[in-house]
Amino acid sequence: MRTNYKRWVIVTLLIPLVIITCVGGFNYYIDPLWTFSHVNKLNTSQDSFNERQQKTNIVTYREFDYDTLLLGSSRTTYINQHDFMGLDTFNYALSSMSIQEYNDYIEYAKKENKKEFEYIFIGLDFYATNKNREMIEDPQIYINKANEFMYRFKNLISVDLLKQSIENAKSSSAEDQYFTRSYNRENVATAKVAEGEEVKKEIEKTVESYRESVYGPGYEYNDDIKKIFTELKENNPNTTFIVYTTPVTSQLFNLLYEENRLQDYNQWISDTVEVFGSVYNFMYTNSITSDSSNYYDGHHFYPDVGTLIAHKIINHENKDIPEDFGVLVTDDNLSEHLNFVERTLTEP
Amino acid sequence: MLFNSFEFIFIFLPFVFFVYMFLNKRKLTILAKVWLVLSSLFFYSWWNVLYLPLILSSMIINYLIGKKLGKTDSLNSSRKPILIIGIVLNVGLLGYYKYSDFFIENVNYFFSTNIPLLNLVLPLAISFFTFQQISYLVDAYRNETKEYDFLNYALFVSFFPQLIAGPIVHHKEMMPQFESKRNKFINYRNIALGILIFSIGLFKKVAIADTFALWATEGFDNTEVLTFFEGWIVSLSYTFQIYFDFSGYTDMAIGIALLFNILLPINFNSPYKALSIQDFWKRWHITLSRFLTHYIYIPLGGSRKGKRRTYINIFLIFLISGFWHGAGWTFVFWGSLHGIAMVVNRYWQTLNIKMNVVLAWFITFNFVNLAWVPFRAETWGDAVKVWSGMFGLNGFNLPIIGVVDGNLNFVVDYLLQYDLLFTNNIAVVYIFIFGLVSVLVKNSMEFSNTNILNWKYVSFTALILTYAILNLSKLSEFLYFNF
Repeated sequence: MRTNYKRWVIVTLLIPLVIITCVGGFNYYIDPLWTFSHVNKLNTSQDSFNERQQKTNIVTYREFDYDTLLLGSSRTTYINQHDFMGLDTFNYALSSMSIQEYNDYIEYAKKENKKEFEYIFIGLDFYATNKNREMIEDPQIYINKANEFMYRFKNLISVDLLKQSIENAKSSSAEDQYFTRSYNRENVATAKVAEGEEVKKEIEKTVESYRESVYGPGYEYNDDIKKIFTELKENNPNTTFIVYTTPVTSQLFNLLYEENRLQDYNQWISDTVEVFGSVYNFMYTNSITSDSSNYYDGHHFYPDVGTLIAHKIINHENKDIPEDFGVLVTDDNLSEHLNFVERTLTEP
Repeated sequence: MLFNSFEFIFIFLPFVFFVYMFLNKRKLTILAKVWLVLSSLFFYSWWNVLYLPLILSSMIINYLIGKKLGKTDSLNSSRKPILIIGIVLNVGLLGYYKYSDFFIENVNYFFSTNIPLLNLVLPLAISFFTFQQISYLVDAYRNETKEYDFLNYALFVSFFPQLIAGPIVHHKEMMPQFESKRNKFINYRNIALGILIFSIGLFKKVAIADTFALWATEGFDNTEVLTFFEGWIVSLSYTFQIYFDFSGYTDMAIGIALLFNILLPINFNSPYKALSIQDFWKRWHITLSRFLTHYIYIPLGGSRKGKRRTYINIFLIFLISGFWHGAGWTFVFWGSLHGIAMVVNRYWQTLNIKMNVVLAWFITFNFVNLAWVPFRAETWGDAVKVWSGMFGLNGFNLPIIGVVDGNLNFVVDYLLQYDLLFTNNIAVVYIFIFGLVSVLVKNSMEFSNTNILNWKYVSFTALILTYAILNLSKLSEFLYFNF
């Protein structure tokens, strides 16, 4: 009888153990949470289902030694961190990243980097200036989670993660882009390409959505922006900040004027210049923003445009950068530039 | 540390078990006990090490008082004051941590004062270890138990399977088991039963209770108005959530203790099968009812002092039970509802009228379901909101809560895909299935007397254990992808 019970125990525990090992093994092989660094043919195209967690996991678990940090929203995720020639850059841009989140992620990245950054690049988005914006996620949730006991191992044993691993494996095996945004193991994002009519529809959708929920009556300029930017500078006295505005399609930019937000836009550019001394402004009507083939929706540009932005702000010579794309705005040309932007909106 | 966590299942439990059995095998029985106590204190401290001194000092003081009671002659007049001091210290500790802010809030409200709240964090398990130690002191006073060894006493209080959420055990039922030589060796029958009961408990918690929790939370905390169907979906979701959650936790505790050859008392005996409210309380949180009966109801006179006093005593213990469950008027109200129902039930028994079994079950279950509403509600407003929905005060529109949201259990997902369900409201399907399970299926404790040595039980246990473990960790998606 004793032997029977012993056999019962062994078999009953062995079955889950085998299944769990297989699930954990496959999840490890694919690594959708980005807690390991191995590369194989099934994990080179990863879904970014939660960049806050995934990129914080990279910071926590991979070798983290950089001199430059790049922050921003999903628009900035499409800038290849290797395009900042001569700099060792980590792209810590996150979907819907708020201005209020910057400090915590910078501090955490500094801690893991074990030194201050020489440069911090920030891609600024006008929608984030809305004081009444609700989508603000506490960075500490993700930082604490990444530092939980045995985090990288215990999460492997999960059927939820298995589903994600299967999707990532499909994506990596597919010839075409599988997810809207995919990452390779080098933290470089690619976008799903949309064709003519599809892009047009997506741009219309974006414009309508921004009209309702972003630039509409619920918008109020956040007067704390200067204070938040100033704190960032004070917390990083030995770091050079280089900030830029993200280029949205001219259709979406025009909406800003239609919804009477031009004054807030001017305030935003002025505040940024006041704190940082300068800003590279890409958010106005120019040859990139007027060409919808550079976008897959109303505000997400393709990585090729990201390369132009990167090269422009580090002054890397690139003949593909159109002359009218990007203006370095300082105190000296602030009024002139804002007048120019207004003219592009008001004059046909 | 929670039983349903990776670190407990894969690291703590196997490590503690093997070292304990190894030390016993080497006849290092004292060291084995020390190991179990230290492991239990580590288990407790994992949550917040700051409260370790609290449980330690509580254990030391109660041990000393118990020892004094044990060594004092039965006729000695100082025994009763010693016991009273002990009880006051325990109740005072619980009162300080659990009820201070509740009393301050009420004083501020009724006397328009502005006394600042203490905002104390409730130490884990304080309600349980306080009651357990009070029972020990009373048993020592009644000469029903004696303990002169601090190590044994520490093991009795801190034994990790029952430390956090019970069952509330008696010293006299635990210590002989720890002392038994037979229990110091690996017993594969106990391990097999332990694994089976633990797996059932883990499955109840992870697969059932946590799913019901989604709809209960949605209705109680995140929805402003509930329609008739939503009111019932939300209240029934909580009714099943609390049952599968608490009984699941108890099953896990019983299963883990069995690995160490310790048999913990039954705590849940299919309570939703109850045919009267008295029957319900003989089946729900049995060890709490046992405590309240032995240490409050009987000392108050029980049923020995006439009908009126009996009714008052019954009502009082349920009032105390309500207050023990939480420091708030909604808990007091819940306790009072059950107290009144018990009094009515007792009176009904004197009429000698036999009620139809189905009607008896229907009334009992629905009363329990209605009464859980204030127990779960964060505020009176939330309780009224759910009741208003249940009584149709907000109309009869089809429910939004519980409708398919793409995050489904794979079985239900499959059934829906092939149109094999009568509704697309997953909450309704869950309530239907697990309502039947809680009423018709035998409970986990009944497996103890079943022959499990067959493939049916091997595959059943392996399946639910695998499912539960693979669902311990959930991915949280970021919803605002495109900004």
